[in-house]
Amino acid sequence: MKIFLHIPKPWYTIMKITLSQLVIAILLTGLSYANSGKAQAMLQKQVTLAVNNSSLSSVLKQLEQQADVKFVYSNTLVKTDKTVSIEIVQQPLNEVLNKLLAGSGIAYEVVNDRIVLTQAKPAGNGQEVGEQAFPVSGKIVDETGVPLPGVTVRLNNSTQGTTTDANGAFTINVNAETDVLTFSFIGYENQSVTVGTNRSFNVQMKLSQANNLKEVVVIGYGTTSKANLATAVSTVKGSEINERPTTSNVLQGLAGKVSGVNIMTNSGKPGGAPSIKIRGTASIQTSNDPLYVIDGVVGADITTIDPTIIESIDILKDAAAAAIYGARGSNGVVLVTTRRGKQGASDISFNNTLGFSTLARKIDLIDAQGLADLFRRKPAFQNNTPFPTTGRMDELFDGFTPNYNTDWQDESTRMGILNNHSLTFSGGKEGLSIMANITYRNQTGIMLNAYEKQLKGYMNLNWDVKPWLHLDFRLNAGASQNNDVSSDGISVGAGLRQMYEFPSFFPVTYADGGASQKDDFPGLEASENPVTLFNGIKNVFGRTFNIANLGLTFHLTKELDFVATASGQTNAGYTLYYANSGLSQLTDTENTAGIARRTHVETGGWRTEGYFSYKNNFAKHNLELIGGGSWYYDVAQSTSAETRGFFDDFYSYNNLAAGTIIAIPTSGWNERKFNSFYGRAIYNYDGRYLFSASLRTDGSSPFGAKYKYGVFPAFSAGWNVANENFFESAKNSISTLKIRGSYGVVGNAELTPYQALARLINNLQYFGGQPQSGVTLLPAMANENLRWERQRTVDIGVDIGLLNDRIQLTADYYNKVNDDLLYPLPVAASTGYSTIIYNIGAIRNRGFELGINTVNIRTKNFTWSTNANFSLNRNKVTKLPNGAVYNWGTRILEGRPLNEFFGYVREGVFQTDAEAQAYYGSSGKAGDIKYADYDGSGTKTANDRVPLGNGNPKWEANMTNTVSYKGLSFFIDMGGMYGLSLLNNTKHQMENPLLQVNTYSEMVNSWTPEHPNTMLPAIGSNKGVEVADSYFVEDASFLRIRNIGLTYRIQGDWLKKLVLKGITLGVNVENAFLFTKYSGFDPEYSSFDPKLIQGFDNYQYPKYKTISFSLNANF
Amino acid sequence: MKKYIAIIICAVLSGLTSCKKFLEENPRSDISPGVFYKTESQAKAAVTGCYKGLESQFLSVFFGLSISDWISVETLPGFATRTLVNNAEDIQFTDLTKIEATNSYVAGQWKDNYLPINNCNSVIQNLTSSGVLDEATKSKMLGEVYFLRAYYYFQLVRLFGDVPLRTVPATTLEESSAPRNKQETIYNQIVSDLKQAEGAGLPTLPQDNSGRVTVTAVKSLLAKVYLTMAGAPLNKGTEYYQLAYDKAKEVITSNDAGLIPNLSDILTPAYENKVENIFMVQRQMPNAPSMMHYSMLPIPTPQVPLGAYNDRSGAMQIKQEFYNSYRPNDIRNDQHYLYDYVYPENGNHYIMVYKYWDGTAINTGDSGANIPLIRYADVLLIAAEARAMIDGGSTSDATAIQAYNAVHTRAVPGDNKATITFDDVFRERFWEFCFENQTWFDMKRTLKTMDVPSGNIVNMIGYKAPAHGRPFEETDLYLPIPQVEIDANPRILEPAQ
Repeated sequence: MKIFLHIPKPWYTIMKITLSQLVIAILLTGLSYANSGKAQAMLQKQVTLAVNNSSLSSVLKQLEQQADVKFVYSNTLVKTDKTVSIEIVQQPLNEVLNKLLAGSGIAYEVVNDRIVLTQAKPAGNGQEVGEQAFPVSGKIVDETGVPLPGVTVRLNNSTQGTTTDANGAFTINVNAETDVLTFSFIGYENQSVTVGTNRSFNVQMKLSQANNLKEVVVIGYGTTSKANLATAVSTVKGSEINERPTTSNVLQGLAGKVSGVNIMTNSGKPGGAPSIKIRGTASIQTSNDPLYVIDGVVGADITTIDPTIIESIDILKDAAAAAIYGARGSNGVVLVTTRRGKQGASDISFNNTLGFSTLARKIDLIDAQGLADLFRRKPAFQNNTPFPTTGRMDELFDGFTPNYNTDWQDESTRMGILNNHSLTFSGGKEGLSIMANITYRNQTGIMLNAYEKQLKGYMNLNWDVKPWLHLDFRLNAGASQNNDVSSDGISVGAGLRQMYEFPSFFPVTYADGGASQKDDFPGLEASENPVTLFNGIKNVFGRTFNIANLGLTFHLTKELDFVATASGQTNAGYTLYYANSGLSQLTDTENTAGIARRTHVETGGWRTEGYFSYKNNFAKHNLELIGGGSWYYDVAQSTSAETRGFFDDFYSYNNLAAGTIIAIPTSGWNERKFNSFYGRAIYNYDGRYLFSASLRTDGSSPFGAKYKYGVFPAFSAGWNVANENFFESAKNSISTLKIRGSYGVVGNAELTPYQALARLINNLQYFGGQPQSGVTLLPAMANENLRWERQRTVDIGVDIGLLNDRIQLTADYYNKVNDDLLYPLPVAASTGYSTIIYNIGAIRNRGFELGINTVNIRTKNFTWSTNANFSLNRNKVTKLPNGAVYNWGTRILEGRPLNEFFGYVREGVFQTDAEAQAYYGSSGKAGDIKYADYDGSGTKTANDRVPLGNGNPKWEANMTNTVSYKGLSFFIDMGGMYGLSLLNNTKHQMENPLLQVNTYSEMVNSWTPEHPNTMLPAIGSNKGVEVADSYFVEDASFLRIRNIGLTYRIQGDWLKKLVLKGITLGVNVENAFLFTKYSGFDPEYSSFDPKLIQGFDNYQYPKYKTISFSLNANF
Repeated sequence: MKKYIAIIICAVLSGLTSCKKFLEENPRSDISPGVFYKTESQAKAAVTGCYKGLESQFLSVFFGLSISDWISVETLPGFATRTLVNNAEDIQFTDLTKIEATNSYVAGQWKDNYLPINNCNSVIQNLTSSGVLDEATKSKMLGEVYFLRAYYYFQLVRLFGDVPLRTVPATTLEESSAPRNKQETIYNQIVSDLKQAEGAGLPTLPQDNSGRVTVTAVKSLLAKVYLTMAGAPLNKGTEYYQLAYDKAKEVITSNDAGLIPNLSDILTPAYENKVENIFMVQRQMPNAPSMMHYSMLPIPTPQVPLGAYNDRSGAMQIKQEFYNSYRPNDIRNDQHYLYDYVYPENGNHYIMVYKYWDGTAINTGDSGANIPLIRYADVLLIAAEARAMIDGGSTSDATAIQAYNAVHTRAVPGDNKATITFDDVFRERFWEFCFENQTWFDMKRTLKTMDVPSGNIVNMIGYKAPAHGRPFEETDLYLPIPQVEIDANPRILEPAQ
């Protein structure tokens, strides 16, 4: 004991962790109860049989029923149409089979729970023949009988082989009749034949199914076959994600590919991360982002890898599927599997994309003459009072005629250029495979000076170190940097805001070279023009990251593995800001001449995990078990420093010591810890009846001391109807039919640390100019009873495959209820607190999802396939005891959906002073806005506010069509959302009738006595301009042609001379067309947290359209 | 073998306990109250924290415009308006249209005071039970906090009338909902707190020029509270005028404070926290800057650079009528309290507030000047007004006359009076304390205002001030309870207790 206590602390911690895992190991070893006698037991089953001249196949069927076994065989190789006669009473199955198959040339073998019938090896001379190589030949055709060229023919699964010629014919030397030939071709199922006595083979290839239900699905802590799954999991192949070569990250590529997964690109920033919502917004306060798992590394960052290295993405949508990730699964889980090196192959793949981006859409802003005319309607200029003539006014105007007319949308944007280079090496030797990728991406944005650069590296290595030990290792490192020109948020100093608001009658520069400023027109607020701001402010965000993960799989027995993983990651993020001296209102005083700021946030973390995995079959019973535990630790440290007052802009943000005014530096520290134990059982009977159950206990440090741990169970069940005997007759038309249902509980633990604790925050108070430290209570009230948000989801789904799975449908209905929601509840300010983070309320999301994949046409040279999906989600706050919560024009209220805009309804404009005064009091004037008076009070009151629309769509639909002819492929990817609203706050700010800034063209229709029928108030009216009303809540339904792509794959022998395997050339138009009534740049937008305030458009960062050219070469 | 088994068992046991420990939270950059109040330095830091909040109403800046909560209240008397008004919330104040519960300045004033009250409550609760301080130190520290709590409540009760009274911190959501208390209850708490502070052993102003609370400040504020209680709406009358007079006289006779002799020295930093400036909001350049200089800069049309500023906030523009109410030989409107800024280009006049002018800031762009909260001139006029009221509207009490003349003749040299009326003193208050967080409250406690430019004292209700669109009504006297409070605390609308 004593020795133990003296172990240095770090080692002690590690030992504690690993030893805890050892305990689990000991506890679970009981499950490794061996069943080597299983095959034997199967063959010992007693059967009774009496048949006369029956076909072998019918006899086998009888045996299947009696002995509860299943025979598997190929009709082409095993001739079961021959007749047999046999009479047997209570004998073991193996003896029956020996008799039955004697002399038939058929052998049998127990594989898993099936009895596999194969052609018996020719007795006696097999070996001798094998001494001498001999040629065999054949012809390979597709399903329609057309010869298939280019089919790979391999011998005994080695690298040895050939391909078929233009006529689908091949010749290959084999060594023995026992040799096996394997035929493979992209898009078709692999086939194998044993040479036997044949010297000539006619093989018909079968099309592989587009979204094959037999495929392996990653489900977290292991894989399973899609057929055996009873939960809602969607799989997207890497190739689908890479249809759009200009996407800057995986999420963009995933947009519109999966039903129930809403991905919104909410900004046109280069590299701007889109928002993702799986089955609606489920949490108000904590994260709504799904959990990302890259190659088993839990909690990974999806933006750190290049889309081109992705093999597949599996999305766990329902709670039962995600429950194995318990605490962190409530927003769904996105499991990314990267490409692995192929055995016996060495591939080099080079991808290059060059893209040109331009502003996708312009908004209808007023021109110089229009704006000047509007200014003359301002009270100050009515009755033809001339404009002031001071300052630059003589240069700006000739009387009332503007001398300049600047389109600031044009001046602020440019052609953005995208360069993407990705290089991937992959390959494998026996027991070892490796994939290494490096990607460099450089994108200049359409806004002046906006850019993003990324450098990303990824390596995975899989190695069978020993027969009992498999090692996998992942290394992910990289860096990125971008300049966010929308910096300074929505302040007057933001270039982006000025692009909208800068009056069109100003030039970029005057004849003397001086830049225009807004107060060159006397009386307007001071601000620089957008071009000056874009050039004068740098706001650079960057990060570097390193993630290493080592996984060891110990094959303890044939059925039992123990998997131990450990990973470490570091992430350094920084913000570098510099505003040049002399910018109006920002850096124009001695103390602010140049503002430099650097903020660094460093995070580090480790994860350790250990689990047992057990897989076995007992007759028709198939069982998979896992059980284990994990420990996660994350720490974040931040530092920020700022100085101002630079004598020269030379130093920018690189030398803070050159500034004369030193701001108080700040720093912070926090850590978060997770500890979990989990187990799962997946069982199926005969591939027909499917069950799974999982249980996870999660502990998370930010919760109250009494509530650290939560328990999360889940169950699912499914029925593969199509695998039933009675369904046999329908199988030709309905090839797959699975009905499934699940129920699960998951949690949400993405909580900022320390909120359960009361804390004192320090501040400096100055007395006589001297600082003294003070502490004050945090404005947020502590909640020591902080506990888990819980989500209960019921999912009912059906998977249907028609015409040999050429048409596949997946439909799901879900009802997802989140309880004990965490929310920063406003506390009565009279307590001195502003909020308390509280488990309050409940949100329900109900929805329906439909995914359809069809292969419409498939002939030798021509295929046309369609992937379409449809999702609808209905969201409702079912409980929120403390009344409504107001948030940027939206309101959260019990009984209403989230993201609902709320406010006054504009009915029009008062036509007379008297009417307006009755409503507004003495200052009312004709031309003031008239609101709907719902409470009948005759004046504007809080009770007149009503719901105005919702930022989330009623439904969403997406469709991708792929048409291929020989090497030519054409994609068109479109998606739309219907029934969503946007609050166009930009327009609200700009259509302020006090007219301080540029405005929309439609303002020429504002109220005048001569033009009374309008929704727009008179210029100069000052009523109701502070809150956006119904007029600015716009219908934002849209249809977008997301991507149009054309690729051509060049093939031919000449490529081989250039050591090339193939070249693919492509041209794409990203964000090609947009159809919408929305008057802003783009209806798919949110300025603020898209989870809660989706659809608030506040000086939107405009989106771009990109034409790109791509080259993919394989060596 | 046995040894290994023993090690494994030990490890298992320690492993299980470690899981609980593993999830424990130990913040390192913020301190937990559970480990606080253990040393004198910690207690002092907590007391110092209670000063945070004095500045809140003067600070807010939004999009480069100074739109502090304070300015809105300063436009309520109707002698000033905002420049570049483009916001209906401003207009509700400047034009005296209906001030809505959703107006953010209303919520601002509410929070500006309740946030620091919570700190005061917490410190009083913890210090009272603390055993680490000797009684004298503890008493002094508590005295500071009692004074500050009284100051914050005094602001609240004058702005909103009946408000919830909280003297201990709420710790759970259940405790957060509370009805309002009657004004009288609030005033009694204020008086009680100030009496606690008065006897706490705090230093006098000459003894402590650091800017912390002094007994001089306590007595001065108490005098003001008594004067307010004597008037509307409690109308406690003569008894409280007497209390106000006595308390003010105590300060006057102590000689702990005095007037800055020369009005042109009023902006001199040398007088910060001493002589006339009994209590101030402490500011420092550049880490705790004051917005006052910036928000009071004139906005000429067209704009021309003024010192370090290309652009100014120009938050307030004083009505010419108010400027003209000053008597001809009064120097306060002549580059001392107000400034008649003449546009260099076109000769137009712009009346600005000059009180907060900072000669340093005009170059650097940052002002570190303190903001006065309690001036000795106020104590003098409290004494004069209280005595005039006790004596039936006019007085020739020596202390009162001397007090009035001291303030008045500093601005109007040689204009000594032998008898003063309430109107004389009250009028003096408008001229002396304009735009200094006083006028609105003076009007409300007397229900009188000054008719400009005549200078006559008239009834407030029914008077239409120059900046306003209509005359004052009874319903204008209190700001509405902020909507955010109503939303979070439904009991707030219950009848006051």
